[in-house]
Amino acid sequence: MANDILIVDDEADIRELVAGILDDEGFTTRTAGDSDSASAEIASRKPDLVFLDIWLQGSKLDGLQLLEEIKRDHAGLPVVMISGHGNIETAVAAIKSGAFDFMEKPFKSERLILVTTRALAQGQQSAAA
Amino acid sequence: MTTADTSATAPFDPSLPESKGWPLGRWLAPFAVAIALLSAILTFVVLTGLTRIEPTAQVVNSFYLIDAATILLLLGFILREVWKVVQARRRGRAAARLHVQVVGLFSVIAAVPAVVVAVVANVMIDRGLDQLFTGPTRELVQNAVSIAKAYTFEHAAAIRGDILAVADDIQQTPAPLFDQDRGTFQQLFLRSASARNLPFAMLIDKNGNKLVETEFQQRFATPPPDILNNPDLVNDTEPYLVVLPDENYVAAVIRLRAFSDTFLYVARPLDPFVVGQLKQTELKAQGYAEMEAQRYGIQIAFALMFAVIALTILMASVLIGLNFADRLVAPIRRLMNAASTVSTGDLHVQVPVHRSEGDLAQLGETFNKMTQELRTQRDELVNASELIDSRRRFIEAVLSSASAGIIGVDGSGSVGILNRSAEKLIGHAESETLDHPLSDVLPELDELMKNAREGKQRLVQGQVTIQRDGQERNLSVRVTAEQNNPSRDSYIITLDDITELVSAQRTSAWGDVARRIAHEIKNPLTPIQLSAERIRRKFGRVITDDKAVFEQCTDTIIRQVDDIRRMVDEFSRFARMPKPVMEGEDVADTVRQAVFLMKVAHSEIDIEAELKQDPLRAQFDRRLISQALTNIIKNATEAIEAVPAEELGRGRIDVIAARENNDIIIDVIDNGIGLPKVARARLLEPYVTTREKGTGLGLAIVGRVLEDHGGRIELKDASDFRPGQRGAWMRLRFAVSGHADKVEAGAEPAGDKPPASEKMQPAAETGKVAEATHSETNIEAAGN
Repeated sequence: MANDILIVDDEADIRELVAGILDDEGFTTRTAGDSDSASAEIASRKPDLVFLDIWLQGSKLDGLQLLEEIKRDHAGLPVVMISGHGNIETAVAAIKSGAFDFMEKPFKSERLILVTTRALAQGQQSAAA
Repeated sequence: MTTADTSATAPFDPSLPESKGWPLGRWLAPFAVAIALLSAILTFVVLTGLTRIEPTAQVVNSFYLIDAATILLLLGFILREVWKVVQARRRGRAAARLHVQVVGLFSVIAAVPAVVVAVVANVMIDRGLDQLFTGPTRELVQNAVSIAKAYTFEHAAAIRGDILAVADDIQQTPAPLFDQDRGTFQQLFLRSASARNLPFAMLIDKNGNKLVETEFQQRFATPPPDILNNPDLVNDTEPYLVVLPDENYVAAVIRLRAFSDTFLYVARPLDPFVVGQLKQTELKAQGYAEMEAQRYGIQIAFALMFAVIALTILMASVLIGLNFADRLVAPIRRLMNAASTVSTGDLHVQVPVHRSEGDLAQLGETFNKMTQELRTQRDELVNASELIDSRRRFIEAVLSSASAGIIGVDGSGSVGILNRSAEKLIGHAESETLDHPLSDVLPELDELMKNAREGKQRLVQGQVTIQRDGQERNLSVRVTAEQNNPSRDSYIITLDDITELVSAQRTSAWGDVARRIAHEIKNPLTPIQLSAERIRRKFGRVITDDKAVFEQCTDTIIRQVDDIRRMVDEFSRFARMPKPVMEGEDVADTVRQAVFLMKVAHSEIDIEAELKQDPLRAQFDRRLISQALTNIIKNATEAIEAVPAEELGRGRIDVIAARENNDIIIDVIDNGIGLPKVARARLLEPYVTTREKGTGLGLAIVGRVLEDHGGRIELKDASDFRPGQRGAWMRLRFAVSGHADKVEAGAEPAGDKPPASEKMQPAAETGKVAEATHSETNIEAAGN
């Protein structure tokens, strides 16, 4: 079962917590604090799912740019965007760019797990296809 | 132009009709003058004997009578003219004085020479007659007569001597000789006569019969017997002499003493030339004497003639003078009348110009040109002033319609002009600010005006805040110096009310801040929440001791985080309220749905929708109105929940939707705890709440939504709706068209009576924190 998840967020607390929750649920997680390390992680081994913060502070690329890069290199890789606060425009932009879904902070653990399960299932489908 | 004007100006020239009226009168005077002159000349001619008419006393007298009549006629005319002039002068008619002067001058000029000549002529005649009837002339005449008489007497004396000598001769002859020898006697008689150089001699008897006579060619009449027989005339001593100048001879007769009744009669012819001269001399002398007798009569006649002629000329000249004065004065009078008309401001005056009037015609022409020029210039001035006036009106219209306040300040700092917008901004009418110093009217501008006065630049800008009627206004002020007149600078002050702009800027800046804060608050909320959830998930199964406490703690963390998130959301939503999207929707349906949702959520309260019209179409943003209505109903439910259970009975909320004129009205009436009696208006302001945990944004958001729809929220008491009922009555009002077409500030009407039950206000009073919080969550769900 594909369960390799890459979490990209500039905020360490969020990064570690998301990873911890998903670890608790039995997923394999990796983390990256900026766009460069995220690209490196993806390049080293393609994950099954990426959580990507829209606003990557102090990074070369922001979330949306990184999303485009990922979609360009790995069209089938599901990406779930994490946004700081309700911003329909950003969400729409993300979905248009090929994001699987987006989660607005603060989100609940249930939603995180639910989105993860659905995204992985979808990724498997597309991979199988 | 001139002709037209002449006809047009005829009424302005009263002298015109007069000069044309009564032609008979005009011709009568010259006619009378002609008659008078003619009769005077005739009199003169007749009197001087130049005609065949004998200047007898009767003829002369009748001529004088005719002259007197014509003079009287002239005098009548003159009096009439003078009367007219006097009348005119009395009425103060133009140029009457000049008229009188001209006539007077004319009369004097005409009369003085006539009188002088008459006097001189009379004197001359007197002197001439004096010379004629005195001195040498008289002597000459008398001498001539004397000489003629002397000549005759001499002849008579000579013939006396002759007759005496002849008589002597005859008487010395013997008497018988006469009777006997008549032949000898006759010879003797003839010798004696011829010796005496008597060409004619005869003897006659007392009956005049010739006895003896000499022969002579000329016949001499024999003396009549009555003379011969008169012894007083004819005797024998002294001969009776007869001078017969007409017969050109002298004769003498004497009685002969020696003969009985026989008379000697001799005659001698005179020189015919001398006799002729003698006769003429006598005639002349006689005429001279007659003339002398008539001398004073002639003198008077001539004097009268002179007087008549002088008078006639005087009258004629006065009449001519009057006529001339009329002609001279008429154009002057026209000019004076026209000038006086002009002086009253009427420039449409033209005087008629008659070429025959010479210089005055030119003057009239110049006058016409002058008035024309004046009129043209005045018309131009009037036009220019009208143009200026219309521009001024235009500028005033522009000023009054300008949204910016405009104040004109003169050099002394007084207000010169103030448009309507400025009146509104500064809260004074123009009438009460004009000519007042600007520093009294708007002291806030002192600083800027000082800069404008002292500074060199033409434009000074700045912002001031003024307080008027308790309201604070932000004004952007521009002061422009008008430097047309360097000594008296004036300023144009432009006031732009930027209160709204400032407020919008503030709101916008505040929105940014709110968003930023929201972001910053929400960020740490995520890890807090995730941490709490992870703790619960991971360790919830493990913990057995006091598991309830563990659950409560984690739940509290999670719930409080959720509250914070919700409050931040609401906060930022208010800060950047979306613009309503107006669409044609059904108010009734919107109300129905909102009421249905709330009914489901609060089954313990009777929530009834009453739709006066169904459907009820209007332009509005369904989402926002729905949210606002939901908010209000939710507030009502909370107000009801705040009532202690024992007092409450059954909770009830009435929602009534209706159309009132151009407004949609949704009334929400509850029987809850009601609105506070004081400071209701403040409930509409953001962050004002009576509830401990309320954000104070709910009613503010509702108010703002309605404002955006051209409406407002009205806060009343339920007792106004249904007497005796506890609770609040909220009225939502917005325009059918979706925007305000009348000026209705949303906040103002809300201030009337105490406002509204904000969502949480009862909850705060009762301190039911948890319930309130909970219901807020529900509201948000419904709103979304």
